Amino acid sequence: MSRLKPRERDAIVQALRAGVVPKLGLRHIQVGRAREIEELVKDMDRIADGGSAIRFIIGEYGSGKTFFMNLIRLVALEKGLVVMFADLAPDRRIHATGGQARGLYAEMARNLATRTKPDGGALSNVVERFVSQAHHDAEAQEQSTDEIIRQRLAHFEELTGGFDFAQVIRRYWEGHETGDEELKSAAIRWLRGEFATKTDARKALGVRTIVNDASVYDHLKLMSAFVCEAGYKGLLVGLDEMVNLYKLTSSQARNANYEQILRILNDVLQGSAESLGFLMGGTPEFLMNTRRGLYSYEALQSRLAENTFARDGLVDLSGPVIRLASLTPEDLFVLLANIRAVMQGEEAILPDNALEAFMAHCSDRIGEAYFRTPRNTVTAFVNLLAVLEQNPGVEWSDLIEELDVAEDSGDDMSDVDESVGAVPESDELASFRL
Amino acid sequence: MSIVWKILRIVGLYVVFFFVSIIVAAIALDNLPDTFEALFALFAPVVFVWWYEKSRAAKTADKVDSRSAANFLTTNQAEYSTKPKPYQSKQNYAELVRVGQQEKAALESAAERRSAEKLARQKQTSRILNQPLQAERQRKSSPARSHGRHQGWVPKGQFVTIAGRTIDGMIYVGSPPQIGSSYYGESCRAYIDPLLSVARVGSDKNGDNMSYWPGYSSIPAVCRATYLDWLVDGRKDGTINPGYMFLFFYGLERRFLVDQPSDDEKQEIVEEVERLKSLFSANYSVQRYLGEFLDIARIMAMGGISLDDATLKQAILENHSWDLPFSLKFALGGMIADGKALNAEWLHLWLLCHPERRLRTPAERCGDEFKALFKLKFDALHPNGLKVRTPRKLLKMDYRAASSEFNCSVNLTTGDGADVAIPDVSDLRSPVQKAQKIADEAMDELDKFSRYLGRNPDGRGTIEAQALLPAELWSLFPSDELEALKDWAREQVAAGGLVPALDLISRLEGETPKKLGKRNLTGAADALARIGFGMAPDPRFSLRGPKIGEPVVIFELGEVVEQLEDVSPAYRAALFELALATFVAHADSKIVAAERRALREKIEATTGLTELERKRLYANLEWYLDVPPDMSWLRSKLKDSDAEHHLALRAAVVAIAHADSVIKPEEVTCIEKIYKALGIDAGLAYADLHAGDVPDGPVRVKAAEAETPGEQIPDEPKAKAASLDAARIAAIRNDTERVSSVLGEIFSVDDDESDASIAAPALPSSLAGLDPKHTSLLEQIIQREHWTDEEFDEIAQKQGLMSSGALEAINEWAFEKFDEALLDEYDGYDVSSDIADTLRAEMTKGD
Repeated sequence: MSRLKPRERDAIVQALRAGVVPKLGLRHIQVGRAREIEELVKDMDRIADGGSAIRFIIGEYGSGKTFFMNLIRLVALEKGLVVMFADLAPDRRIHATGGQARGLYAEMARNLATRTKPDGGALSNVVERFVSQAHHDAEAQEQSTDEIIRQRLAHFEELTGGFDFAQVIRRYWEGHETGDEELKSAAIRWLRGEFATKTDARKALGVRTIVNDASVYDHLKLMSAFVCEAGYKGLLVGLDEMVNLYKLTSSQARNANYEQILRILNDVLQGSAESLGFLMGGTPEFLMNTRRGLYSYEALQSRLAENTFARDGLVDLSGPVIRLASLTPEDLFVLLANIRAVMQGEEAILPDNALEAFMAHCSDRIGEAYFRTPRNTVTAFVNLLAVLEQNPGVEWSDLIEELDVAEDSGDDMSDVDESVGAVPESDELASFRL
Repeated sequence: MSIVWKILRIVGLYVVFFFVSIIVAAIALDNLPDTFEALFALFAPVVFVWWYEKSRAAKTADKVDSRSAANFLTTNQAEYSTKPKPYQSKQNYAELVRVGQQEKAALESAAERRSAEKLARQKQTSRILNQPLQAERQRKSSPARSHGRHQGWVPKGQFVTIAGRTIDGMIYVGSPPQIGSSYYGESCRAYIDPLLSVARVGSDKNGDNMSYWPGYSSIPAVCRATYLDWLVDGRKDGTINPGYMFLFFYGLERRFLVDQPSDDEKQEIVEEVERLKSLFSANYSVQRYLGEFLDIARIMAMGGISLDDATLKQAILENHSWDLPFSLKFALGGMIADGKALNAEWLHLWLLCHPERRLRTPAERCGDEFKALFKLKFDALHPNGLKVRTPRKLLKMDYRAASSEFNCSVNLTTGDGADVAIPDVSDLRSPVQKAQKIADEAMDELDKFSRYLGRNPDGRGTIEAQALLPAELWSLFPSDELEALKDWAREQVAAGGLVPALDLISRLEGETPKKLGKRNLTGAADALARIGFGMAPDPRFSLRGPKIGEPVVIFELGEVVEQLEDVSPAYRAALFELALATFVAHADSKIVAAERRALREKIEATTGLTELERKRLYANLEWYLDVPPDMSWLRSKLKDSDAEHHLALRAAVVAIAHADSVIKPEEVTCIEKIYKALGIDAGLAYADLHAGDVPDGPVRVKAAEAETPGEQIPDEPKAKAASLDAARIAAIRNDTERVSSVLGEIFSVDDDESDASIAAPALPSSLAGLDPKHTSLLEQIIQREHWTDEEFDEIAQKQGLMSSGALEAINEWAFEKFDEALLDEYDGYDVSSDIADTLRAEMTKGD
């Protein structure tokens, strides 16, 4: 096992205490799931080699979808990919008409991360790296940087919106060269999809299009091509909480989103997307519900069907759907042991029977939820370890009985109206009085 | 008239004798005192008159009768028709006692003599009718008196001609003796009085002019002619009014019981009555009266009964009276008196004749089968026969003549010495109750058979009927068709078992029904079960039966099953689960081998089933696989299922959805429907489906489907904590190790020292990956441990670089070289000391 960096340790402890999945150092606490991870590592390799991949990570609430996806994200970064992760939400969808899709894109762009900047916000790094290289090449070839950028992004013009994309990159260089910070920031904002109207974009950058609800996927493809130009291996897009699509009440809106997924799926499976990978996390309902889930969309249904040869105990994990089983008490035990190792280091190891006593305590409090949705259990355990660490005289057995573990109530599965998250038509109606 | 005449005569005679007495007294008794003479003259005539009247009465009795017969009869008849019967019989009794006393002695001696003869003759039969006969006969006057050519009984073979018709005996001829008191008396009915007028043509065959209780003397001339014609004809016409037959029978009866003829003649009479009885078999009262007579007469004619006599038993069965037939009582009583146990046949007879029996249709509709079954059951219960306690009451033979002219009663004994009285069984209850119990069972078992016969009166011997027959009767009532069916069924089973339902039914019922009702199918299932084959589906448990054109599954049960309807609750539950599971398996419109196997394994794994039920489940499975269940008929059952069963049902459907390791949307749709029908949140379906599949390596201790979703009920927490599976933890740790090694390769950071030493030789070219600008920037960077944002921007600007781009480029390069970033963006930029040291070392070396 690789050495644990103090920074990673802090990140893990903080994230776990807050009940969220750490973004760093996940490999130190990963438990089991070897085959799934191996499979996805292969995927990452394929993307790095210019291929494409799409995976639906399906698991119950609390079964570790997010953890798993984050782990893969770290793997992807380590493989030299650029990652864009975002959670879907009522106001962030793949396809919409009220700006929600653009919202999703903006969120992803904000979270764009590279190996050197794994926490996100690396968009400008990527752009600058590209521009720097172009500048360097320009100096070497004694041409204008602008010209080099144009040459290198020439093939973008074949792609939807590629012309404007290239234009924006050139504007960034322009801004850099002229010291016009405003222009640089406008270019970055455009790339992040933060321009709400075309008029604004034309004023600021002189381009005729912006990233809008309809062009999110096109821009992801442009982005993957761009990061490759900038010297990265590829782009991995992660979309979590896909169940938000399932929650949409309007079948039209739902189907529009599923249509987008189908488009992505087709592109990926047919090989027309290059160096681009997708991870989509969702609950079994999202996948299997035949009225509102992915299975409700005929075309997706047949494509997502599992390998018919994988019968009788044979396993084929190469299909697009990866199913994560819920944790078992034993899994949790190993997880706690890993956390213990992360937090306490080699010395002063809490005995194994302390772990078991702790698990028994949790089971008393919240029943089997303690291992099925281990978020709160883990939080409580981290807190316990923290107290023990800071108060050397305290015995673990005294603390366990007083621990409070709350039950995790699970996702909010309430339906979402189509218009949620849409930009209000006009501010005037935002408030009124009788 | 006669009284006035009598008084006048007496007064006249008295006056004449008075004067004669006076003359005699005056002549002969002159020497006596006057008082004596006066007394003599007064009383001597009285004595004379009394003597005269007495002798006259005796002399004229017959004369008066024959002379005034016609007149007398009409009045008598009128009198009779209004007279109530009990009154008559009382009269008879009074008469009987008086008259009977005189003849008793003579009769007894005759009877004793006869019985002694018989005893010698039939010692073997052991039952002897010993007759201290108390025949009470009523005869106004001696029958010995002859009048005309014939008076009294004309035996068979002796011809007599009356009114031009020659009759072959067996009748009473002559002026009929008066029966009853002198005032209400009537002439004996059976006597044919040759003096009475007879019509030329006997045309009243219907007996329109016959009274209910006819007597030859009292019927009109035309009826007499009809009667005589009938007699001449040899008494062969059974269509005639039975009144004529009765007229004849009265004679036989009287002859048999009152005259006590020889044994041969008695036998003759019995035979004749038997013939008549069968001749008028449609007439109830003929059957009854003649039956009662025969009952007694047979015994008397033969002096006893043989217990093996089939006609006797037949006769007992045909009895129509409300009471137990006499011969039965006699036979039963005899057996009891002899200390013999009753066998099934007699108990059966007893039950059938007993007034308190309760027999349902099966006992009548299929009497033979009932009898045989009764016998089998009885023999099983009482292998040595049924011993009955001896009742205290003695059997008495009471016979009331059909002609109502006389009664008689006989006490009966048995035993070698004819000294054991025969007890009367008519009040015994417990044997009949026992018999009733056996009969009830037998009737229950014959129910199905009987109902079948009810629908198909000619159905006996067909396969279906035979199959419905209780199995123990098969050997007694064999059927070729059934054997053929068995062979056929065996062939079908060998060929896989699937048979068109219509084929089976038509083979069983002999005809092709228009539609398959539940009754057809239940019948078929029962029928097959009786020959050791099962049929699936059984409409009693299945969701539905097969329709026309659909097959059924035939399979070998391995044993003969009587009661298919007795199954365990586990069977019902399993059957339904199976239906559900097959429904899901059918969802993707094809059944693959894995699903088939999973279903079979499911049956195998169900506990609480008998081997037989398991076989039936397999067959039902075959059927469900062939005929997919339909949601509409599952739904109603699902609604009824209780909550505790839900888990099992859920487990069943999820397991089968996973059987082929592919969860098809169609299968999910099915499961959603099922959950909805169960009233469970459909959302749970996905959770179940998801958990049902355990793709994780270490967890797959067994096949995935073994992990059923519903069964993870929280245990006692303590137990849970203690139940951590060490082996599993080890497996998970193993797996985790594997992951760690995979991830470790990706994330690996080479150990600094070793890496540095390896990296050192490559140093001169180590900076080659960077362009000059970046190189100079790098050289600047490694001089310090920490740079603020502004400082970093500044030095980047100096080199003509963009700060973020430079950072990215340098770090990428560092990752390539050292697998670690040189610059760490953390409140400004930290420079990795390890790399900086290495680089510095390289540069000095390079310089």
